Amino acid sequence: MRSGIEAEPRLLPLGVAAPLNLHAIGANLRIVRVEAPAADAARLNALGVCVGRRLSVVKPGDPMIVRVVGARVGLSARLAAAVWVESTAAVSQDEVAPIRAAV
Amino acid sequence: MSVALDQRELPLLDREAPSLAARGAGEVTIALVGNPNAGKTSVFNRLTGLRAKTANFPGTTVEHRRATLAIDERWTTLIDLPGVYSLQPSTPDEQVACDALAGRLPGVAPPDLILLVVDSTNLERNLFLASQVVELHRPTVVALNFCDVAEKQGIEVDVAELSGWLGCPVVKVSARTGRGIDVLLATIDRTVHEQLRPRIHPELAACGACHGCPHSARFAWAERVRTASVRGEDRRHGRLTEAVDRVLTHRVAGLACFAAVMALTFLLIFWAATFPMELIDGLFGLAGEVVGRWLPAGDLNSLLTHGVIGGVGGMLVFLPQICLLFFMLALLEDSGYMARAAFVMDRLMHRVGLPGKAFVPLLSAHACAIPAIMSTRVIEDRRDRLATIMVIPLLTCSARIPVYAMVTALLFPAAPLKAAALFCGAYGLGIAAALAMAWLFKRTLLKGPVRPLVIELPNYRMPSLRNALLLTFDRAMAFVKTAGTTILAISLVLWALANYPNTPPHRLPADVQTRVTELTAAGDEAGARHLLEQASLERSFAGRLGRRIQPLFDPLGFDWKMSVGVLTSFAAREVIVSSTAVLYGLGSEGADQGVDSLLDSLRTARRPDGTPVFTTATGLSLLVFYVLAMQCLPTQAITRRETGAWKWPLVQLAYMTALAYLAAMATYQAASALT
Repeated sequence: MRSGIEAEPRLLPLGVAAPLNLHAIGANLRIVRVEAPAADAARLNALGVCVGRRLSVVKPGDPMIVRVVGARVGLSARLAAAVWVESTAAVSQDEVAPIRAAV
Repeated sequence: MSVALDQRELPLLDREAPSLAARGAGEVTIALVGNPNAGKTSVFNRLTGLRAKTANFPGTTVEHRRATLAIDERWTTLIDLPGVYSLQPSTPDEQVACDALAGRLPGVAPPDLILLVVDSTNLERNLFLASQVVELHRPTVVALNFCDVAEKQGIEVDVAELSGWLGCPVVKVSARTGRGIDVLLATIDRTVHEQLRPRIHPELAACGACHGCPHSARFAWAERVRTASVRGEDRRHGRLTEAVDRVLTHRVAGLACFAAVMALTFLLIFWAATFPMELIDGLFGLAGEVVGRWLPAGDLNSLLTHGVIGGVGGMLVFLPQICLLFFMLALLEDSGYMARAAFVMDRLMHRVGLPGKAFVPLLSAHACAIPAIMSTRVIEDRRDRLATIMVIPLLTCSARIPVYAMVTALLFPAAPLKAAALFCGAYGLGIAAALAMAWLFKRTLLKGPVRPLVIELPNYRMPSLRNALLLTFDRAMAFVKTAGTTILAISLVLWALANYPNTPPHRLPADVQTRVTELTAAGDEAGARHLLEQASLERSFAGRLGRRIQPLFDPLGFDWKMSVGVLTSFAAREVIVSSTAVLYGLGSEGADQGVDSLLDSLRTARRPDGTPVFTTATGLSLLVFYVLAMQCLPTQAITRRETGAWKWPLVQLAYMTALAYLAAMATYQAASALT
């Protein structure tokens, strides 16, 4: 039985933001927004699943494993669906510059 | 908390109070803080050894370990705080850790020094917490743990550079080997003495001021610090962990591995525990024999051999198994495997309506329901938490091990494989019942959706034997304390109930007296004595009580002695073992043999009609009853405290007792029909 949030993972076109659960293994991604409820978002943020962080998928599925801030985090597909990511290769320097400046 | 205590503690709550000078030198408080998996407990154990005690924070149910030791002639109290990922708490444990660090916890002195334990193999993520801790502006020392592992992986941390970014002293240590601990102690001493507070790096100060996601800015800072202070990071170790994880977190293979790990653990416990168990059993047998021979026959002799030595010995004989279980669970936890077990179980847990986070409490419940119920505070959703609390006592806690061990040893004395299989079956029954009841609770009383999983999967590590041994020692001491107090007291009461009122032989009914005379004439001295003792026991308080309630337990195949055992173990289930030791020991003792070991007495026990008490059907029925019955008063008290209402422990008691009774009855009837 496969639920809606656990669609077949695939590589998305570069530069298109999409929920994390739709990504294939090994993809180089950057988190663009986290739409989880406040309590879940706090937990995700503390473990590094936070806007601006780079992330790669170690194991797709439900629950899935991602690598973020040098550590592995297991998270359910339902939460992964609330984490929007895009491919880092497609992020233009114009988009990266303001983030760097903020730091 | 008493008024006097409040008044004494009040000045310490003043956040403006100069901490060290006002209290005078000689009393220093150090709080240990760090990410879960950063090796905080290893550092604590390395610094304190066997001096640590487990305690609750005043007014809370959050457990922590603390120890007092002399650091350079200053008495220093070390407090091991619960692990946190950030100082924005999302659970009660994290809340307590944050409050304690900030000096906001009533009755706990604000720390004179914060010892931040950082995992050098996972620096960037750990630096996030570090950035928040230094901003508390208390004297801080950073212990860069796992420095040996980091070096092996080719990770080189520039301590001076890192110290500059954090604005506080940084010391490389390896809690496992003890490397750097002397330098750490010297640094702690100097930092406390000079009250050195962290100097906040300007770039970190900017994080608080910038707009947008505060987490994001901190992580960006952490990344910068890591890049500046770490050279030559290689990912081989991480890749190895990921390769292992491909199997251990696999949907099917992962579950199979988990089942295999648990089965292997219990087989090992069985095999390795046999030798110390035989030794302890032998020692208590010998002690009973010696005492029985040296004291004149009579009440005192009987009290010491049967009441004290029999009761406590029957309990302590299972200590090796309990120690081994705690030891194995500690090793599994330390190796990083437990997080994987939680990960692969998440899917299954969702099917019964529980979150993945409920898995760790449920697994801890295999040691003891009390800490397990307290650890459900990691579950954010109240309904998920209540459902978990309600089913936790169904899982096999260590107090059930003596009961399981007794029954399996009785049923399969010479077949360790069969015994292990039955043992696993009992665990399986507990797990199945817990999951089924959770499913039922989440569909009836506690209807609602499940909170999704977020869990860190740390790198696999060689587990620390030292930590596992210390934890095992802690638990073993707690168990011995219970055996020496509660269980001893219950054993004594039982002995009294079984021995009074004393019926002299000439007061027994005529037919018993006739049979005794016949047996004596035929030369069967032992048979005559056995009959006399049994007749006397039947007329004691225990006998009368047991006979009155026995019809209730008849459909379960329990005789009156087992019925008494069930009643006496209402407050603590493991008492059934010492109860049966006392109750059956009285009836089947041969004068020339001293105290028989418990198992021998049970195996030879006969009903009045001569059939053995312990048939396969009775054994299985007893096992099923003890897998499912509540039989633990302390757990009920904790449920009341954690849920805030008497309703929940009462629901727990009612449903578990009904479940145990019906399942044991079905087992007995089915097994009797088949054999």
